[in-house]
Amino acid sequence: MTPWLLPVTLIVSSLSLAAGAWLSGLTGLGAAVLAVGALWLIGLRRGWKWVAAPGLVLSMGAAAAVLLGAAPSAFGRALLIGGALLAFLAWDLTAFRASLALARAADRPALERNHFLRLGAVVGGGVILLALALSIEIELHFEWTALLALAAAGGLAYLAGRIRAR
Amino acid sequence: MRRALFLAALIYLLLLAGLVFANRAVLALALPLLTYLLMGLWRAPAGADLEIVRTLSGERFQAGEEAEATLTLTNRGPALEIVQCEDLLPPGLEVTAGSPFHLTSLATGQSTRWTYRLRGRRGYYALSQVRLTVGETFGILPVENLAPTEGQLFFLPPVLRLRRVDVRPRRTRVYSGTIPARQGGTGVEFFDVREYQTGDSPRQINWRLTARHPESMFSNQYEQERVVDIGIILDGRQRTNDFGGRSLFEHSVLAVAALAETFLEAGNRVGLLYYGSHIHWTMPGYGKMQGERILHDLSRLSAGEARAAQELYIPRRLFPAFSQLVVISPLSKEDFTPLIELRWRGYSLLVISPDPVAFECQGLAAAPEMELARRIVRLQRQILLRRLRGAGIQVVDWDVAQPFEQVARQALERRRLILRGLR
Repeated sequence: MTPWLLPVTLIVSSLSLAAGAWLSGLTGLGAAVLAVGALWLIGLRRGWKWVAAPGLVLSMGAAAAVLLGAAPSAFGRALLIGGALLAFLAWDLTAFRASLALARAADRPALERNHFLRLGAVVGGGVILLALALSIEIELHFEWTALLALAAAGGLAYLAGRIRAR
Repeated sequence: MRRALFLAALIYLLLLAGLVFANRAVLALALPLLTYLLMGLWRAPAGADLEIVRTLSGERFQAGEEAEATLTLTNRGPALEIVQCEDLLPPGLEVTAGSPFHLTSLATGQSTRWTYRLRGRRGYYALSQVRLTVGETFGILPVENLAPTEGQLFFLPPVLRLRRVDVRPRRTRVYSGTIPARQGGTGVEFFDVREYQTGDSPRQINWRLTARHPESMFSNQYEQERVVDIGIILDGRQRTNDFGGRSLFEHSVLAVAALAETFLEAGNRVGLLYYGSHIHWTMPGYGKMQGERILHDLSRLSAGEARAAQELYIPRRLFPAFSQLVVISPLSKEDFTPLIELRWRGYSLLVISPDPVAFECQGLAAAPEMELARRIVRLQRQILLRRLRGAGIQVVDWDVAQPFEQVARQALERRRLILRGLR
């Protein structure tokens, strides 16, 4: 399942991000997103392991840039967020596909089932949180924003420290 | 770990951008990633209790043969979502079927087994470690460790069959064998005539000589055939063996294996001295076990730069006086003196010299300057070989483009043929 799902996810992600950018009037960025998607796809075919991480960063960066800079419509925003999520799934599936190549054919269905169940649960939970975050509107003053930024930085630094310690 | 850090950095950038620009959509974009990261961290195993056992189809193979490795992995600890196992193979081994990698999930007490086949160049290979990586399905925080295992493979050099190699050292051992001992007695080859002694077989009586000298009777004596001590000296110096990525050493090893086997089959006592990056001495011995010992030692050897002296160093105390020495070396001009010294001290020397000039020229483009250089080096080599022959050393100049059996048949069995022709 993974071998065909991965390119499909990647193509839909690139098209979705490009459409979101075009609808917001950023045609150049849309073309760039398509180019990144194409490069990622070529990298997959050629077995370039490094291509997924820059692909995800650029896709996420493009989605964030359009969301921040062009004030897209609700449909455009949905396309951008959906595209960014699919790019994230493509990043995950790229690594998973590489690992799966080491497994015996008999073990692959069980490994894939386990991975997709977990991924489905995580993405489902993430989308619910995302929808909640988009629907709840809270007025944040500068002090609160700075405090939250610091808290996020502290939390992630702590996380990184724990990871490195392990 | 790299995936976890990468994801954490991306989440932080998205959160920061969302907060700085007060954009909910960008902030919300970080949430699925954060969920993914936290899920991965939550499910990551703290460690694993895995047992790995490797079984090999054998330890001793001829170079080019295939060995089969079977690995059995058992989980003695809690269930693991992802277990990745890599059998760490030393360089020189090639996987021909299956894979040394394996990825699976293991419940508590569950085992998995897989097999792969591998082939190797001549050499000794220690299979001492397996890399085990356990984690959850997202691979966020894998735990990796190296598990010690037991296993070794010897890929031995091929052993060519030679019919016989004629050597005539000055001193033989007491046991009967196939080497002429320069002493009269029982044997096959005619040696001498002496006066008849009580107990001589009537078959031994030389009737023609007795008829000429009726006052006495004469018996034929035959040359005794005994076993001898043979020391094989293998030159493994890089400077004489290696030529731009190609090496004569494999050819020398092939010759040593063939000669050792032939000498041992004839009942002789054979030892092996390797001189290269280090000095390795295989104690002299008889029989099949000694053959195995020599082949095992040969499988471990490779050409390397000598640290001590540039010329061939042969410790004489290792070889019995007046015994037969067989030197396998491409030879350089500095080797003349040590070889001559051995000859002076009474050793019988047979030098088999893989031709480095022909070997090096095979890999070079034809050019007038090259041809001139080749002729000069060829002349230098011919002078060296002629000087060695002049000192009573038997020298075989071996162009390695020719199979060793063919060269050995022509050069090492020749003496017996000449003797037969003269008779």
